Amino acid sequence: MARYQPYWTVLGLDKAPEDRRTLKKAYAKKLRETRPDEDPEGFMRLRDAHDQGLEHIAYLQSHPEQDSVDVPLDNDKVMRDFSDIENENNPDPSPDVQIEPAKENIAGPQLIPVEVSSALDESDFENNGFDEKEEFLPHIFPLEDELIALLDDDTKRYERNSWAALFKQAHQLDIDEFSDFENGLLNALLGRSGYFNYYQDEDDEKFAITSQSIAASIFATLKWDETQSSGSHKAQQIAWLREKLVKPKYAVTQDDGIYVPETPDNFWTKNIWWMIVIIILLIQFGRATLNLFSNISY
Amino acid sequence: MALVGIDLGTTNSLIAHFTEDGPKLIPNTAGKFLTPSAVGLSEDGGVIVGQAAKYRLVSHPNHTVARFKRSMGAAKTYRLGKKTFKAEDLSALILRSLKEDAERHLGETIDRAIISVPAYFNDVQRKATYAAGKMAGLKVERLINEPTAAALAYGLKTEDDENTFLVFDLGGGTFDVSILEIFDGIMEVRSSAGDAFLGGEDFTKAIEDDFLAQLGDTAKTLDPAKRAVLRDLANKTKEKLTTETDISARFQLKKDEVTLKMNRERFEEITSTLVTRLRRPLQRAITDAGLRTSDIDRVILVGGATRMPVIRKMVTKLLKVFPEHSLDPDEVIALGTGVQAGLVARHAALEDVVMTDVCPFTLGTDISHEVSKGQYETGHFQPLIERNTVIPASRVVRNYTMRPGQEEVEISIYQGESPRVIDNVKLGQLKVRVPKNKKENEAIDIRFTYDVSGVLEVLVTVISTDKTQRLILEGNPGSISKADIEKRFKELEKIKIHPRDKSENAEIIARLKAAYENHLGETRKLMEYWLTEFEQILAKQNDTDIAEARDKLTEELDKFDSLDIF
Repeated sequence: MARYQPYWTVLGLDKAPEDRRTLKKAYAKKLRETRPDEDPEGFMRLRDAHDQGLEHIAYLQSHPEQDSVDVPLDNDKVMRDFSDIENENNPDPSPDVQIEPAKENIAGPQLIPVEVSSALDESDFENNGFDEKEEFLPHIFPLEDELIALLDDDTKRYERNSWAALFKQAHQLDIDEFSDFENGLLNALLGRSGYFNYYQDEDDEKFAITSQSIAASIFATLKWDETQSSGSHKAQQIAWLREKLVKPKYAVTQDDGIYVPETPDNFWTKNIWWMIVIIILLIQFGRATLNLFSNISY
Repeated sequence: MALVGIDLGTTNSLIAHFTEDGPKLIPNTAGKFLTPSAVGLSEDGGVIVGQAAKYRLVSHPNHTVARFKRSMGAAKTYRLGKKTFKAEDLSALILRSLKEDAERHLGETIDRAIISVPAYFNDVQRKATYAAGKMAGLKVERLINEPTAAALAYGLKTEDDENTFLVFDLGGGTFDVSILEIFDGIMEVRSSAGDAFLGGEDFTKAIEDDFLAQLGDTAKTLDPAKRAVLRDLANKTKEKLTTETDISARFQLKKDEVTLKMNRERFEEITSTLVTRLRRPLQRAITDAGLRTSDIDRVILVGGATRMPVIRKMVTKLLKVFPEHSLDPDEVIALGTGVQAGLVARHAALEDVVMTDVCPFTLGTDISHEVSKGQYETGHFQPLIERNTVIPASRVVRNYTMRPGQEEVEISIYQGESPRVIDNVKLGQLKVRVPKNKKENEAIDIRFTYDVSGVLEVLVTVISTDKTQRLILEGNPGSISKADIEKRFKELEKIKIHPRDKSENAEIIARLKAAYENHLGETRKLMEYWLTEFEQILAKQNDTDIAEARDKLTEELDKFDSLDIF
């Protein structure tokens, strides 16, 4: 069962590495024997071992008193069900990042998506400022005052120009500051949408933070629609926020391939599209019939 | 039977090989390392490549093309006189010209090459680059990402044991950012991000547009030749702005002359949106690598466009590190492809060097989510290989049919970062038949394998029958089939690239004609005089005289160019 040997044997070590340096040294040594271009299979095994080693070290560092956990090596991690991300409105409650062997979790009779994970990576552990243990708005970030003033102003937050001015200022920041600003903005929007308020009643949220089109522009400017390493906290938060602020701009289908824009829960708005489609179809059908007859008459 | 490295650039292309003394660039017949990526058709139907063609952009705008790299893999065609070419054909002609130069220089046949591509080139563009190589009669051993190549060129010069550096690569047409870590002789790309449609040419375009605005109504009356002159002027202005702050350029209209103005402040103003677009990839590369700017030890500038002071200023401000450019930004990628050639050939000097790269895009399939009982939402993106995964990589996912009794599954492959496939790049699709199973949903495993050159293989296995199907990514608009490549190779082989002398003579004539177009009065008369004189010498067909006249005129024209226009 070579497949289930502990990862450090793949790295050529007798025991689990205790620090990054030892791991990297071992990895570098082995890498010369299994070069990615000459032995892709061997390299992928080595890389998986390396990644598991990093996780393991991160785990040991966050749980200093616990013993090391044996992690079986498995190349293909057929993994968790995507639905936990889809259905969950609250942050993932488990801060425990215990590494588990590949596990397949089938939920519901008609499971469609099963996500492949490339295992939790380093960044999940170092995810600065997004740990669920922290309250929202944990630190002061650049342009915080300007942002809060804008969000508190009942007129300005609906004005495109005010947001444009804020982003213009943000584009003067350096990369780190901008990252902090972006995270601060995300947290502020989440906070004001009730993301951190577990007991809030859905119906209470009648007020809007800003207009949908401005929210869509914020998403586009910051490219929030692009998949963040999926399954990460930020990805979940952004998906949640998109549902709240930006009208789902994409379509729903009824399994027949026809795209129908999703509309609010209202009989008329919900059905008017169908009516238009039916009317168009009727007109088209009528025209086709007329054409048919006029052709025959010639 | 040698292996070379080629930097196939938007503006310039270079070729290099690995020697005992490290990577070395190979000069073209004119003795230069940079061969402009321009292709022209001469009056007798032959092809002119390089500097001569670049000059002909001004004198023969309808028979010359440049800046076609961005259309690699796209359906766009270029007309040269009566013939039409795709970007792949044109690139193949550039590659062939480089190959011939190198064969002449090294005295051996060259049949294999490493070609560099922007890290942010997608799968379609990568395959098009492969095709161009084949059409030029080269076996493409490997594609290497441009910033990675640059890092290889720099990496060999690092003293420190451990180093994190950021490569900022702004080429003629594309922008890439890569973050690398070096430890114990191992180079590891941590992350890559970029914009495949942002480069130095856009900065030229900004100046050109500003000039057009300055011209006002007259702008509409410009013919293609005049537009080409204006473009050339914009480019020269951009280059001059790296050393000067205020520029007045003279632009020759039919009768009168207009003075166009540009200064650094105005330039910063008209390029501010372009500069803002540079921020996002930078930020993403850094956050994807899980770093802060303080973790970056060195910033390396690559690509001719990084000579612009506005870029250097921005990089310094954003990253709080003074960027380095100890190697020529135009040459560094080619040098890196030379190193890669040495690595592939397992050159003894590189025995301890190993490099790993990442896949800069997320790759996945489309999928339906059940939103409520019996209701599905299609068009979701299911990522398999996440961006910045170390390659080669292989990932598998298990999917199920939407309902029992389903007999066929259609799987589409996408590349991109959007959670909905509609915003991503479709790479191909395949249909898989599954046994009719009325009781339960059939399961299939989809496996993606991404190799070191960034080429994707898709395997689909039906679990109940254990049958596997392999996806050959075809049917993209603009992608070329094998048979087509073969056919085009034969067609292109028939086209002769002008030999050195002839193309150099054409270059001189084109330059003289361009200068004639650009001026009035005394200068125009001088150009006309030189032109007739040179044509007379050519007619006598004495090679020594021709070479002498050519050298003299090149010198004069170079002098003239430096005074010219400004």
